[in-house]
Amino acid sequence: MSAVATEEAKGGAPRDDLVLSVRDLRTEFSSREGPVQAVRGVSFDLRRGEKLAVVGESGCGKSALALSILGLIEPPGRVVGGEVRLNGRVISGLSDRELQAIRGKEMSLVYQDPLTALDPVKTIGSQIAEVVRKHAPVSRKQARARAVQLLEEVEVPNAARRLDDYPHQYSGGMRQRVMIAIALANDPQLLIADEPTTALDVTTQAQVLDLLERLVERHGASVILITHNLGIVAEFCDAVRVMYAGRFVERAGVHDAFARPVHPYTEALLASVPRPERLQYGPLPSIPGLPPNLARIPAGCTFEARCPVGRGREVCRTVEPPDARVEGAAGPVVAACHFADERRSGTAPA
Amino acid sequence: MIVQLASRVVSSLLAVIGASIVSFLLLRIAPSNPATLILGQFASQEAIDNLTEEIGLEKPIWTQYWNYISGFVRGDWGYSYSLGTDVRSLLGAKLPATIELGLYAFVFAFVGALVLALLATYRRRPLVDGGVRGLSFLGLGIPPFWFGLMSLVLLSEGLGWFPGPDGRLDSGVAPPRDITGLYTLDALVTGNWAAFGDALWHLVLPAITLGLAPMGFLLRLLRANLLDVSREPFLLVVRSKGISRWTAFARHALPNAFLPTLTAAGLVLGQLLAGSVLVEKVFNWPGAGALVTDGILRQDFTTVQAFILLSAFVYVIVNLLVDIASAAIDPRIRAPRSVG
Repeated sequence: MSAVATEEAKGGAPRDDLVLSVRDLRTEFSSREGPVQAVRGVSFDLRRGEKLAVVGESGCGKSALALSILGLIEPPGRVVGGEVRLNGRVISGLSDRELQAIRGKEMSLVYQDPLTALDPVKTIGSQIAEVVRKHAPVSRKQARARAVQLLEEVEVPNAARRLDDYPHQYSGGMRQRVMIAIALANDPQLLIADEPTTALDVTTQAQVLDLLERLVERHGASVILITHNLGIVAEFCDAVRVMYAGRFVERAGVHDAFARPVHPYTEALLASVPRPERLQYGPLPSIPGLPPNLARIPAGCTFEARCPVGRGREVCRTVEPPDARVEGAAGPVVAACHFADERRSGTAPA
Repeated sequence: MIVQLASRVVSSLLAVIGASIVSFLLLRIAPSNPATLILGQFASQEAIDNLTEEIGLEKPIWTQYWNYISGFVRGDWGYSYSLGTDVRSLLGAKLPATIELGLYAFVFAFVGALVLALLATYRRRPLVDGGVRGLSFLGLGIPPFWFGLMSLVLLSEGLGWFPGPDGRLDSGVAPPRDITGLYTLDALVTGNWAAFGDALWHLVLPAITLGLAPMGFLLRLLRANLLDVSREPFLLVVRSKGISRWTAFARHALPNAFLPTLTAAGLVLGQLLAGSVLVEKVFNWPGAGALVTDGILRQDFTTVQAFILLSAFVYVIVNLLVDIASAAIDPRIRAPRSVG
């Protein structure tokens, strides 16, 4: 699955079936403490039809990464380096006007919180029609007809009648369906879903995810799914990128990431997923400590202070671990850990 | 929607009635006998008794109130003994000047606040934002009469850009034919361009002086609301559709930020229409301000009472309009129950 991982590491030439190619992307937010490095040199490729998960804790830079790709980082934030290539064309560094023609057409966003993602004083129909009319020379009437069609596609009952409703008349799950309709309206090649199901209850989550999966397939979009919910990753995605303190610390196919995580952070993340069969044995396991302050990135490994493996080792404290490539069961795995090899072969120092 | 509107109209009416009762009672509590005031302190007891009976002062207070209000509605607003004229023609002559000034001050305050708030929040430039915030504090802090005097000294006396404190028109310009009493409007309707230009020119400094504090107030409010709304995820989503920053701001942020400001703007408009004595004084503006303060000083309460009642009425009407406008913007006000 993750043959791309190798190419990312080498910074290989873009290939035909690549929808998105990100190289060494860096984003900073200026703050009183100095620049906060939210994204620190992220590289990855996304092939046509691929569904890639970016997982990590809150504040690890997942959302900043999404917005950096979309070119929607607002001051005091700024993309300070790297290259984003969409459909073979470099889009990083384009003017906002040029990006406006691409956003909503070639790439789109499904936002995390459907309760706040729609303008409360505009009708559902007008908010769908807005994206249709922005990118196609259609009349008001045609845009409206298209909006009905899209609402039907995301399985909102009585679509034609509910077009003139306002967001507060829709339930959370329905609003997220509307978001999906907006995102897929112009058949984009890239869909970035930022925590698309976090604000929904579990049943609705499953329905929305199921719908998203079917529609993404039908519209031929590649997906970056940003989430901290590892459950939906296993269900939905092909490959996983684990993000920690602004970097990808592990890249693997979905099977390897779950079955035999290489990076200690990935392992800790997996261990903290609640499992019903274990609940009776005590509190949920959690990762001790907090991620580092991104305004003062420590020397060495960013996970060192919380790591059960490195604990105080000289090399972990002083040398930032390079990407190490190991063989996984289903393809290569890349992990930014000094002990990647040992952990893979089961000889990691305890 | 209809039910809501009807209930608002009813409560507005109750507010007006309440205001009329309070104003009526307050002025009756004042420790003076109107009959003595009218006839002077050397009048005979008999004359005073006669007048007391004539104007109904010996009747129960509720009867007096009823007589006053029913007269008011019929167009009899009472008689000013100190000025020897009926109150209706007195206020009728002065109120249009006050209302015209108030409207222009409101337009200045509202448009100024809108433009400056957009400027401050649209690009999030700290320097512009700081400047705008400073301006709002200045607007709120500067005493209007001082600002008015300074503007006259600098822009009228010094540079001669604006007319001096000589009322609504130059002495050489004839007022336009009286339709509404608002000179600029009447001049516009009758095509009297000379009068229109002159009236407008005379309005600039007083309107800015009167509108400065409300502008500062609305500016602070609108800036804060716009900042709040500009952090809302739905703007990000709108931008992710490929909509330009300006369109996103104008089409989505502004209507949302407007709602809380609208209520405040209603209060401001009501206040401005009631006028300001000090500003009218500084610019020698022939409005109702002096009439009312003189009425208070001379204990000639018929003018004051009519003015209070009219102000209350204006407040209520303006707030009713604000409610209707809010409902027009916000669907959640129209249908308070939500599904899901």
